[in-house]
Amino acid sequence: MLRSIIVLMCLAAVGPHWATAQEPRLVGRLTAETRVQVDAMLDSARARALPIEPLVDRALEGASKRASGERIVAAVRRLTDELQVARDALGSRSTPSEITAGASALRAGATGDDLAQLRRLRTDRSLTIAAAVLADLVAVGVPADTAVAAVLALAEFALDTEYLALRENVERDVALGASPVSALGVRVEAAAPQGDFGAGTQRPPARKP
Amino acid sequence: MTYRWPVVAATAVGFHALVAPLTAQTTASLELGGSLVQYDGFLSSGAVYGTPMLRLDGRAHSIAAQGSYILFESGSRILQGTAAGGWLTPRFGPWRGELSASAGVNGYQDYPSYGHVLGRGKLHLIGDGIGAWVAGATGSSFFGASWDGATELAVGAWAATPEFGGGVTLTHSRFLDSTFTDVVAGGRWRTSVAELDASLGIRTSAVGRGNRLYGDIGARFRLSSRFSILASGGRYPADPVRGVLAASYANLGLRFDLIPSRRAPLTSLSAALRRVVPGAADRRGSDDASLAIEPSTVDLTRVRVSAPGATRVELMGDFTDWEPLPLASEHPGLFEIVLRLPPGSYRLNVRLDGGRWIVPAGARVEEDDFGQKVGIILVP
Repeated sequence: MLRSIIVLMCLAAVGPHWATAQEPRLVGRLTAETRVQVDAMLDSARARALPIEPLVDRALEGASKRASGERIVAAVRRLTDELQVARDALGSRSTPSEITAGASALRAGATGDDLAQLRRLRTDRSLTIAAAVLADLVAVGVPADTAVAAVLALAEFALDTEYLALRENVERDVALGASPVSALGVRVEAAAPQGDFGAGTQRPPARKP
Repeated sequence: MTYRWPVVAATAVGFHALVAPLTAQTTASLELGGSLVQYDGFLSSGAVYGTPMLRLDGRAHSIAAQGSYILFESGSRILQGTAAGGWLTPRFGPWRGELSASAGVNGYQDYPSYGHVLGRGKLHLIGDGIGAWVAGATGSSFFGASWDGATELAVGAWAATPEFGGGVTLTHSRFLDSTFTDVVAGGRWRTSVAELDASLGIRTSAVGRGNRLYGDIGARFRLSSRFSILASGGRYPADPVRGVLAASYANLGLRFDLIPSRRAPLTSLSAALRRVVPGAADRRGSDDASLAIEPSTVDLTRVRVSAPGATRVELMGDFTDWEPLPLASEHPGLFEIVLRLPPGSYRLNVRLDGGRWIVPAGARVEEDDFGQKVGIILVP
């Protein structure tokens, strides 16, 4: 009897290390074969300190949309790679929501260097909204490098609410017929002080020999 | 008649600034053309000119340098150069500060040169597409070895839309025995192929020499991504601080962008960037339903879906483990649910009356990994 208890205790102790942990929310939502593969990727992500929640969500999204197991695995793998790039760029102290938003920005067209720059400019503030707004700007049609430039230009001083206001104003302008780039241009111009129409102390002499 | 023009010599003064490489962009251009100019008190004269320009824009800094070489039909030459640098402070609510400096020299033949060095402080009040500012500048202006102090005080207001911009400035200047005030209204109109700028000013309270009414108009027509035709003309007043004589002029030139803008200029609207991006319309959500996110209590978020004609609305997303969640209907066509959603972005779809899953208007549309579309919402 004592021997059996010892064996069970030993199995319980080493079990988590040799068996892949099962994500309970995937049970009954994915086929056994797909679930094993996704669980393995979750373990790998966990070991690399990547946020797990978005990966589980992505697998569940695929399941709800009746995607094939192969496609679900590919989607989780792709997101894992994006989260890894985002985490590397944003730093190990980044929050899961920042990393997730960073991954979304990467998919929109930002680069790891862009995210790293954003982190440097907003050292003490969350990047979640800024990165998400970047992705939103691309979604309304602003070219990725233009959206990146705008978000970075405001990064040093803009509040999250100002980023949200920028996004809303650009979306509204676009809905009213403005081209996405010009809408962004005028909104960033409004955020960045200008207004030297006509006379000024630095009037260029080019047209006035 | 012998013309007595200022003497040639040009200098560019650089301003060092720390500019983040990822946000900086460098632009350079060269303008070549011909002018017809008549300085007050002199006969008109034809001239050809060349104007190189270099500009570096950072996230909070700008440095620009520009020169002009003008060769008159008499064989006389003017060489002038200006350089300016500016730094913008972080924004404090609607306020933002700006510190800048400019320097310039212009000369004619071997006569002593005119020049100036000015520092300027500016406080901006910025609204949604409108703004105002107040500025003060002080420095020195020189003619040969003689230096004298100069001051300028100015206020301005502006408004801008994607196509139009306009503003008015009031500048009071003092230099030696001259004090004068300029009121200038300016505007611009830009399309995908052309830009039109115009200004009209009046000089009042003038003590010493100066013009009363002046103004000019300029147009730029893009021939390609690098070449533009420039045409301008009008009248500008004397500027004793910078050693500029009052004159009337007409210019016609060709501009070549040596280093064109690679990103959207952050402080100006570039016509080249006014292209409509194909496919933007495809990124809008369905018109059958619209979604709105608003805070409910401190840590709760109210998700509202407006779907006129629908009797049942379901939502599934990252926050429901992608299981359908029915929304409550308080009024016909209006559905809502209150959720605990930490700040961040979430993916979702909506279904009306058991139909297919759609992305409602109000959510960002993205191609998902499964050959369908998904909506992205942002919870602040």
